[in-house]
Amino acid sequence: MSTMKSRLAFVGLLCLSIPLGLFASSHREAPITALDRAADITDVYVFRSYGPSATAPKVTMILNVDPLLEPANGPTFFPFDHRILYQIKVDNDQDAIADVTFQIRFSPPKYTIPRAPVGLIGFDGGIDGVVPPQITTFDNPGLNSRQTYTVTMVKNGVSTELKNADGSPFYVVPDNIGPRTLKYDSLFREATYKNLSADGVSVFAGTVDDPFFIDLGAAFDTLNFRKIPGGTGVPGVLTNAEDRAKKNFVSDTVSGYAVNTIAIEVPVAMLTSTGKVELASSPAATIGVWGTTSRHQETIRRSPLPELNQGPYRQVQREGNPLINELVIGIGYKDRWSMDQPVNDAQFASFDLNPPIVGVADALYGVLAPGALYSPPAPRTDLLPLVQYLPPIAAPGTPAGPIADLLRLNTGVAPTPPSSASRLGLLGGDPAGYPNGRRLFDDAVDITLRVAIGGVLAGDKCGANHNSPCNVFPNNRLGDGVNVNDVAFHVDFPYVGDSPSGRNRRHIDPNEPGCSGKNTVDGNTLAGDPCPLD
Amino acid sequence: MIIERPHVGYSGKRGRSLSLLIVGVLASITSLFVLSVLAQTLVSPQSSPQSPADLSIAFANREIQKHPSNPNFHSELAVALIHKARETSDERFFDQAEAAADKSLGFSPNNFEARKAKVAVLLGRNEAAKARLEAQQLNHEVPDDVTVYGYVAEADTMLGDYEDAEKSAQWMLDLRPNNIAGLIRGAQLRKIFGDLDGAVDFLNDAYQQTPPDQTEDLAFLLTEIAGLDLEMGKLQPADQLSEQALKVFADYYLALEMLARVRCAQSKYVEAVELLRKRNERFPQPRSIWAEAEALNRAGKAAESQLLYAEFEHRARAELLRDDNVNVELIFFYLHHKQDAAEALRIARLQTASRHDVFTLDAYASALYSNGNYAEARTQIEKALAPGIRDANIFFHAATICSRLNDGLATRQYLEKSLQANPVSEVSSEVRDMLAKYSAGNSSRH
Repeated sequence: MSTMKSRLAFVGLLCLSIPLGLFASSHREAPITALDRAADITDVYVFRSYGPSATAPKVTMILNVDPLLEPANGPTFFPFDHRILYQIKVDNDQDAIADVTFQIRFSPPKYTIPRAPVGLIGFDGGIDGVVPPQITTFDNPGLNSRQTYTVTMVKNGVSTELKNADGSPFYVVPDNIGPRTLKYDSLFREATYKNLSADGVSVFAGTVDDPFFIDLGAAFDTLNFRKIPGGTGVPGVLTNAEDRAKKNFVSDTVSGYAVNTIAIEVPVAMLTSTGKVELASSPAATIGVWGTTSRHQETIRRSPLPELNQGPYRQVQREGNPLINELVIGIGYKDRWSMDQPVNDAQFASFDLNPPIVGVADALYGVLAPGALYSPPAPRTDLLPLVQYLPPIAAPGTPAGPIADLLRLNTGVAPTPPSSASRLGLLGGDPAGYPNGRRLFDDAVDITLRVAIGGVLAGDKCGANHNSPCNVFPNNRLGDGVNVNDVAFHVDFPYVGDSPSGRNRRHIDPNEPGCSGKNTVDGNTLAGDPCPLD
Repeated sequence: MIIERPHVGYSGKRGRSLSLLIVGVLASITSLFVLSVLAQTLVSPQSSPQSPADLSIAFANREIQKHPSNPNFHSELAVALIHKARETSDERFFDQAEAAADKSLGFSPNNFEARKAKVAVLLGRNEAAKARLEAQQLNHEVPDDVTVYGYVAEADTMLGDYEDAEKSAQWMLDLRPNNIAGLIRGAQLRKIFGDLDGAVDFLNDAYQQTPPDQTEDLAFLLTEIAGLDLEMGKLQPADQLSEQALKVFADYYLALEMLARVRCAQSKYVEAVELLRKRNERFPQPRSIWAEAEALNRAGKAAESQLLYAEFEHRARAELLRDDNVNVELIFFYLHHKQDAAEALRIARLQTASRHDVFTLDAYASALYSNGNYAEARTQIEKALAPGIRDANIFFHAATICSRLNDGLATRQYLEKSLQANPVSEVSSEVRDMLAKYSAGNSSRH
């Protein structure tokens, strides 16, 4: 009897329809990571270190994953996934291929069993053996969940493990559940491993405040920005005063949420192709940085040895510039983009040069403010500095390299002191800010709106006939009204802010106080202007 | 190895059994409506109103009545009709699905789901080359769609382009780890690559994830696992799984065919005949007619089998030049029953012009062998085995060819592989006899 299957059988289960994602954010921007939170990269930051410990020129690189973590949670918190390979990659010769890679691997969380009857699962001892003592160090017996990690630098084909001089492990800072349970800032300090070697490498990993600030609800409700009372009257367009203000006019949707962060600080000379600090005018000064998450493949062809059956790593996601995948890459291509390599980004050039979001904004503002906002026409060559080594980031004469989404940093540009830095980075006259690298306090949303939709780098291609200046009102005043993060950043490595405590965290919602900036949580100062609802 | 054999009705699956009951009640409440909708619209082939495809068809038709010019509901109807074709083996549903997809495209000329449905129809009709071209175009337009990768992999598998199929199937599993369609594609390829245990693992994973109300999908997966067990000589689990498939989805034609194969392997030819008669009561295909004729022949009912062989030949020859054909079976028919080796070779050459899957190559090698072209037969059988497939019959064919070429070492190795692949295959007694002769020092079988 034939062993052939009926031909109809071959149609088996092909009828599955996979829903395509709609608007997503860098917090869940692609279908693949909407299903895999731990591998979801929320943001990548890279900047010249500006803290007091950066006595020599250094670069800080931060990879954030696992979005919108609610700190009021427990008892197992938010471990990094030990099955994921987290990597920060650096291109230093303009070919969009990694020359220096930092590989971060986490241990499975190690759980210990509490000894005494406990009110909270996972804590032991303390007052009368019932109330657990506050956890202030990683050797506290009440800390029942510990996770460690390793950092390996791969350069010129050589792997070097970065480790403590005494061989002790790197601990991951746990979620800040609340002040009775743990002293978060003590753990934060203990887990900040500075100057591991004479070179001055520092590392940090843990659950921290999510530094991204945005009116997420409005932005991803198809740019349904809010009218700011006393403002321009046009949603998403700021007045000069609002633009200058270091406070928020609408609610920061990410406020009160945490994220898992990996931060590495290395000397500039460790990253450049020349092995030294280059002047800003040098073509060798600019590097391209991106982060990736990867999991083992489930392979069609299995290893003959079951214990070796894990396939090679497959990339789940990558990120260089903020908001590229969510705002630029079209639906139906987002996963492909996430899983591909930057060096292959020419296949997405049509999106880079004609972002779908621009057409949406043009249509919306054609109704909201007729005749006021005109974006430059495609092809948007003014956006190429985001995806190639070009001025104003790279020095003139730098090979442009292929189109590739990398977060480019001219390492020769000295850091701007925070007191004089602009949230608008290069657009605000601050040469050390996004898109020359990206600092935690750079307002990626407003910058992206102005560059992508406003076309402020496009010269005279705006107006009804595409022959008027672009860098004018309202193009250069686009903004969501969220100008600053809800939590202060540290002024030295690892720079990220403390995670909100689970007990006292506050998510500032529309229509409630907190937009004026007087929104201190642990200090209980909740007064301030209410955040507009509409 | 399979870790947990799926047992429908097993105590560990209480939730699933309950869900099935609930689905059954809902289906009986809606059955009158379902039937009325079916009567209003399409031809009404035999169907059980509770089937998942029927419910999907009813839903799509209901939405079409409310929104007659919405292309998405016409696409949904097309998909449901394709599912119905697989449930029943009634190929007329493909025509209806194509019509529904065309209607969707009439309202929205570039409707992606409608275009996908048309590719699925092409695959159902075995038009693999055309399906692959269309699917590749869809993949170019929307590279994130997992189903389209499945279509490309399916077409490549049909055509014998296994490395390309593997790339697409691997991408499916990378894009959505553990997705059901990817697991099924992966299982098909693992089988071709000779990893039958791995194929069972994938299918078992797919089964565990399949919703309990998708009874035909569950039966399909049980039948597929049974087939793999059968090919490994594990007759008892193959028997149990085929029976389970028939409980999950009554009178399922694929499960009837599979159980008949198991009965033949158990030398219970009369039971096999009964099963295949039942299967062929509805929408018999040349392949299932051939199976019944074979079973009758083995049951000693030569006269009855001749009638069915004749019917098979008539219908198979009518499809000879179509993509949708049973030429592989026809080749073996001419080799084993008509003793017309020349015609078998003519058909084999015709078939290899358009595809080079392992089964086509095996049939081609057999035809070459029967025509005395042993060297070329060896070349082709080695091509068939190159992907790594471990099939007792193909190994036996290879041994026979090598024996003719007086390559005793290769002959013995292929015979041993045949027994290793399936110690109770339909050729196992011949293999053992031949192996005994070689072990006794004979260098030639004939």
